[in-house]
Amino acid sequence: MIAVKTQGLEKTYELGKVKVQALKGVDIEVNKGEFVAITGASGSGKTTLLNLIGLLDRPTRGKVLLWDVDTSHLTESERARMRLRGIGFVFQFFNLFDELRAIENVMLPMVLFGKKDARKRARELLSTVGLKNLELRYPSELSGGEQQRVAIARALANEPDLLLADEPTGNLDSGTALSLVELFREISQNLGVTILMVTHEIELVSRADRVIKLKDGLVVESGQ
Amino acid sequence: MSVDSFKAALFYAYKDILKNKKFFSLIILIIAFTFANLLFIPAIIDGKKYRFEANIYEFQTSHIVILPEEGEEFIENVAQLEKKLFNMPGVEGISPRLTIPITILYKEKYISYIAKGIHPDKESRITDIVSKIVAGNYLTERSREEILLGRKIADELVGTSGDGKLVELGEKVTLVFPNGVRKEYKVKGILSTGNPEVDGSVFINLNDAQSTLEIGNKASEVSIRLNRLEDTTTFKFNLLKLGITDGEVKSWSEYAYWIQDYSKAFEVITRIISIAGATASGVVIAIIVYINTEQKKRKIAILRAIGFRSEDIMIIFILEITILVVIGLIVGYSFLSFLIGYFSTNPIKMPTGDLIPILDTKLIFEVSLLLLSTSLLATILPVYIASKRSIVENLRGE
Repeated sequence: MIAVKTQGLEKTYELGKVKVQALKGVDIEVNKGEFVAITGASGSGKTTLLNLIGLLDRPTRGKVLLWDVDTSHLTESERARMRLRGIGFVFQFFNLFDELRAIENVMLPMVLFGKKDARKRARELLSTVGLKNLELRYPSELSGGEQQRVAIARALANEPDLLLADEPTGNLDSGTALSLVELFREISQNLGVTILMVTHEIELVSRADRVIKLKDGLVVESGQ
Repeated sequence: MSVDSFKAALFYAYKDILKNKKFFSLIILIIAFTFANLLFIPAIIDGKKYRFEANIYEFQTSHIVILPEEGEEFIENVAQLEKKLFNMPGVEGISPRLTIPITILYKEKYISYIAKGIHPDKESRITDIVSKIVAGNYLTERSREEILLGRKIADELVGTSGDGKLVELGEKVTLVFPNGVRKEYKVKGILSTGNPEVDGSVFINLNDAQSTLEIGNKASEVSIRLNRLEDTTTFKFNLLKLGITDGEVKSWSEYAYWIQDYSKAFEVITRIISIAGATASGVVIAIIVYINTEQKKRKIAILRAIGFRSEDIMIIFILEITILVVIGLIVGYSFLSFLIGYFSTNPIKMPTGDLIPILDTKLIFEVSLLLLSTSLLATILPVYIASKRSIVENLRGE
């Protein structure tokens, strides 16, 4: 089953009077449970593609289909609900809430979703990502790697079908980065979650099932 | 909005307030002191207005005054009028008075004043002048050729007004009545009420005055004290309806008609101070709250990224600011109550009498509503703008 499909995806940003075309017609397909790495040079359109697939932004032209649902006609409210129920995000800069403890960061999407036993499940997720004894710490009391693990646990909170990671290891040392990508791999294999990870680190790319390479807003390579 | 959305909004708002205690405490304190400031000055002015008005009916007019018919000098058959009035419900006391223009001779001085002939006992039931004797004693029903001096007169008779020296108790002053009769009176007491009209009068026994002027059973005015001040208008209406008197009936505020201009002036001053203060404070609070919310654009973007809808986010910030404002109002009210309590037991000493600040319930409600609506507006606007902007732009901090 195809989890993610883009058709002629274009995105143009207006930076003052200058128009920058970040994506120039991207067509990709990602199967359910696939772990895909998106690579390319800086400015090739990787993050833009991820943002469009994750419904954080709207394309200038073209479509994003998630589980065969055309998302171009969805209202903002419907897109928010789709993000809550089906999509988990892991950002380069973690984007955790400083005012919430690790466990509360993980609980928040579950409380919004109305899940019962949110605290218990958050504890389990933190244990899964290796933060069993750090659940009561605030993000500022955790290392970069630990914060990213909290972010992964939060992304998995509502059992999403799609996990989007935008340079999740960009701020981590190589050892921690490798262990995180291994974690992604386990999640993909064990939970059947489709994962799209933006990275330009060659060593991490090799752990993915497939690589999509972008250049100047176009897909130039898509394969094992 | 679903229950789950509300729960999540409350969860985040509560944790955010707990974690940022210092900053939110600052907002609470600003709201509290703004609230107290906006209400305390008007409370002082209201207290001043109350004291001003109370000085009229507590020491001068009581609640209702019956005056002679137009063109007449006296109310006739006062004893019968008193009986009729006593039969009316709500009456606490009645006191007839004679107002006599006199000249006082004391040593080399002679000054024209107003003398009031009063029934000491009856007067003590309708006004509180008995409690304002600052030297000597109040008159008795048997007082003859004894006089109570208002402080202003006791001062003026011995020297320059305001130098603090007063006529000695027991000294004799001579009163020259309109009919030419001269009589010596012994100073029995001095009273100071803060009402310039009363402090500028002298008081003698009514019977003494009537016999001197040879006018029995007549009065220049009859004052009535009611059980409740609030019943003044109704009582006056009933009095006129029943035709109990041919005299002119006036409420205390009609008698001292100029007080209405003062009261209006006080109200205008209070209103101006409130509006000016509220506007200034509202702008300050709005700016602080706006900046606080504006700084959370990135957090708003993260909330949206993990699935919060714009309306869910709005609820978070509305809950936060409402909690802060409510706590601020409670703290402000507590502080204000402490101030009012303090000044109730330690009134501000004024020449017109003790001043106790009075809180206006309507103003409390108005100021609370103003602070809440200003804060909400300052919150809703940036949250609305951030919610409508692209999540990506907000995440980048643009």
